[in-house]
Amino acid sequence: MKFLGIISVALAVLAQQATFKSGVDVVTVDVSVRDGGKVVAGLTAADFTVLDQGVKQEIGDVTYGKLPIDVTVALDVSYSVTGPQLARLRIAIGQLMHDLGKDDRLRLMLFNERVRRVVDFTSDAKKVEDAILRATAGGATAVFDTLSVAMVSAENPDRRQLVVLFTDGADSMSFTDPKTLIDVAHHANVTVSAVLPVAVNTSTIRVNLPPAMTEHLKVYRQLAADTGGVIVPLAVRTDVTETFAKALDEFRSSYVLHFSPKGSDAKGFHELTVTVPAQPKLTIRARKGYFAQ
Amino acid sequence: MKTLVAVAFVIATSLVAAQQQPPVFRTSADLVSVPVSVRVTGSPVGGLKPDDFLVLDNGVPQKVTSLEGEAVPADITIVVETSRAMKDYLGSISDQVAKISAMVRPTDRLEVMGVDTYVEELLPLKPAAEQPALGRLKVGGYASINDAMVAALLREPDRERPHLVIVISDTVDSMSVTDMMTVRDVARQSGSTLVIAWVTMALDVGSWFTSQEREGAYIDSVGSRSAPRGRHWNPHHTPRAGRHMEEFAPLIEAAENSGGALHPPGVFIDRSAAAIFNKLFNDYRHSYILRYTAEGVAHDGWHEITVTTPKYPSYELHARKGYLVEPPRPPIDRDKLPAGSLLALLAAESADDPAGVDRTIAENRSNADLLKLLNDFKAGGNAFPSSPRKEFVLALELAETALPLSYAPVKAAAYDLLTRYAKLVRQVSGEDSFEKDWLWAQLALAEAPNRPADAQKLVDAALKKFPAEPRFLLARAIIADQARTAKDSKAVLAAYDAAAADPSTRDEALVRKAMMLVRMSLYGDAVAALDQTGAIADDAMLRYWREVIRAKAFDAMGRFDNAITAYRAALAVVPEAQSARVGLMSTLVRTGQGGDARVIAEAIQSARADAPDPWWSYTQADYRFFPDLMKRLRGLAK
Repeated sequence: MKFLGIISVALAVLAQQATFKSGVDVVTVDVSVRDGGKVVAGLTAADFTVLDQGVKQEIGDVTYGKLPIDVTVALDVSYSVTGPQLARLRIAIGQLMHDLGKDDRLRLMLFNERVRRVVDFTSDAKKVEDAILRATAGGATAVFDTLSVAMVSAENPDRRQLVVLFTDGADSMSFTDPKTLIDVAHHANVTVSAVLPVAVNTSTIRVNLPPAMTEHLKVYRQLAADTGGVIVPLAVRTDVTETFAKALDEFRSSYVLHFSPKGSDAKGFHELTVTVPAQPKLTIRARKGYFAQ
Repeated sequence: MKTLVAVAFVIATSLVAAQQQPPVFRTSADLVSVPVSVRVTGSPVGGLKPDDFLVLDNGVPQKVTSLEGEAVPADITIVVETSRAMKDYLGSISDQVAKISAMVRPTDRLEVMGVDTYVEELLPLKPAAEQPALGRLKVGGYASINDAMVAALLREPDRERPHLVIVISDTVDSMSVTDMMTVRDVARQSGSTLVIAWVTMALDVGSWFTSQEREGAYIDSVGSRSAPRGRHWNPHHTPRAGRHMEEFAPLIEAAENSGGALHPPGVFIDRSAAAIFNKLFNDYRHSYILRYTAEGVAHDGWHEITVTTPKYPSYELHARKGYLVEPPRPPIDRDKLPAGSLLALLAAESADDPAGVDRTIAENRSNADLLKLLNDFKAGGNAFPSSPRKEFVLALELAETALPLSYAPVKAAAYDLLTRYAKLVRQVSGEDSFEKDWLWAQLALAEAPNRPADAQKLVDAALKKFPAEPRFLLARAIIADQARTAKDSKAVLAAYDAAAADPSTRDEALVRKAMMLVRMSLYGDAVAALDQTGAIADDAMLRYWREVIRAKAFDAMGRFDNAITAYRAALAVVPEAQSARVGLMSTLVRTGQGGDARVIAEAIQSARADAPDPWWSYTQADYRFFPDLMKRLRGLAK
């Protein structure tokens, strides 16, 4: 089964930001580097250029694929997610558990109008599978509220944080508005990707969704772009299991850059730019910035 | 909005309802109103008195008790064909409608419907002076003229205003689901006057007039459905006499029975819509409204009306040909009802067994079963002759189950049920309180699914009966808010202000107005509106909404400390409410208080499964009152 055609597009990318502590502050940025669809390995600190508010930064350290991962799966169980769809997602999430590394963990959140964590971060695949089997669909859809809670609660500087949203519809019940959601994302340390029921051609996301969903798709796309995540189109015949596996693998195959910001204003939002100057044709994906308090 | 299928379905169900139980023609006190136009040698005749008229009702002379002339304000519906056939005439239709709007009196109300393949409300019914300019019209598609005429004629008339429907088209209907005979039948039972003006005449139309016939004729003659043979405008064209006009006999009958007329091409030199309307409305404007109380005739059934001026035999009179009075519904013979859901439902209601009612409805939750139950209920007679209010309570129970479903026929059947019973409720209530509560319960059901187009008709009808009822005024504002586009904002705000004038609805009107102002990014105005509310001591849900909306406004203004205070105030009302927790969490994290934010995030994720959140009820508006209303109605129905 195809993985839709976004392999040539930058895949799940990591970015982590550190909140300033005190004294020496270190910012952590997850960076995905691809040449076409292939992972580019073997880069060092000297290969990267990081600009913080346009000021070039000295990269203190680069690691590759070493930090453990916390994956939060936010699964839509509202009225519109019917039996076959939910069943596919159940299978895929179960498989995802088996693809995690020995130090990785998964948290399962289910939402309709209500946001619930049914399984806290765990490596216990059976616990997750049992929770999914018990899930039933019904109610309205509070996507924005769920994402806000997921991002705020996924705070652990020693682990990389990925939130994967699965929803089939527009938000119908959230108290959180899109602007606030994006703001929260800028303050959080999380990469957000979304698996959505969109069709795709090779260069654009072609949407065949109702108008409300089309509007909210723009929000999901901005959220993904600003946090270094991706939109994963889920057509009817897509192998969801393979989709999850690929997304996780891409997330894992990223560099983590560390630097202590110098020469930039300490407060507010810091726009980041990451490049590999010697190879300008590489596809670099990293979060767009971080908030300094 | 364009709703071909919905209009067709509503037309179909309304016609079925009309055939089974035709609407009462005029006021419940058997006062009959008859618009009459009087002309001599083509000019209107004014100055007539009641004694100048002889009115026969089923052949029995009646005494005209009042006569009104030019002062009676009218409702005018203009139906303009915008199919491709009209492209030569529609370039200036916006100007035409503006001219027409200028012709009507300030007290008249005007609406404009456009029809091509779809029937579309271009301008809703409003005082002519308040109508905005009609935007540029798109011309194209086929012509569903019959459907449009039926839709216009089925509009619930205002008892105090004559309703004039003017149709401007080019003759040929090519897409309707209804035919001319249906137009004739609906016009007969409608309270409206139908005037049809053809601006052109398609050549060789032959048998193209009925939707059943059109397919063969079009395909055979031109090889496709989309290309009529051709037409031309000849202002002096006289239609072929005899056979040709006979084919339009049902339409002619429809117009004349209603007191109107069909004007073929050739009558008008100037083919502009404004010129046509000017002539038609001059006739209508100089009409009289005769009123009489029918005496000496059987109450029920069709009443043939004849109006003459015996002293002036040369005068030419146009009046509708009659009206229909609905007979009382016969009681259901339950012994003859087959065992099944309807019988079980009626038995449970008779026994004052709400649980049994709920159980029976729950057993029929599939779309097909529920649709059958709704239709069986509507088709049945008076189910509770000794306690007629029970039937109205049961209608609400059924509608409550049907409205949230996505299956369109079930939803339409539920709205039809509510509309029908809204008309009947006064006959059985005996006093205002049951009727008011019933209408409010009906509005509560209509607001919840957020379908303002359907709810609008119900609230308009409720306000006609009780124009000053504050709950209905608030419902109108809420429905307008649900429906609004950017250009409607002022009107919606004004509607909330109107609802805020009464102490019983003031606080909720101000809270909802504030939320609307937040959505319009007028945050300061939103806070100001909330500051005008009172203590709201007896409505915790409303108090909660006020605080979270206040918090939202402050948050958007960057006044984060105020926002946090407001969120905490909301949580003081409902401590576990997810919405206030989420709002507070988001504000804390954005103000550098991540640790406190994470504590709240944890509380959200681990909240108990039944923790309440009033925010989830906000968009359902009055539905939060529905359980108590039903309790009250059941008590009044015993």
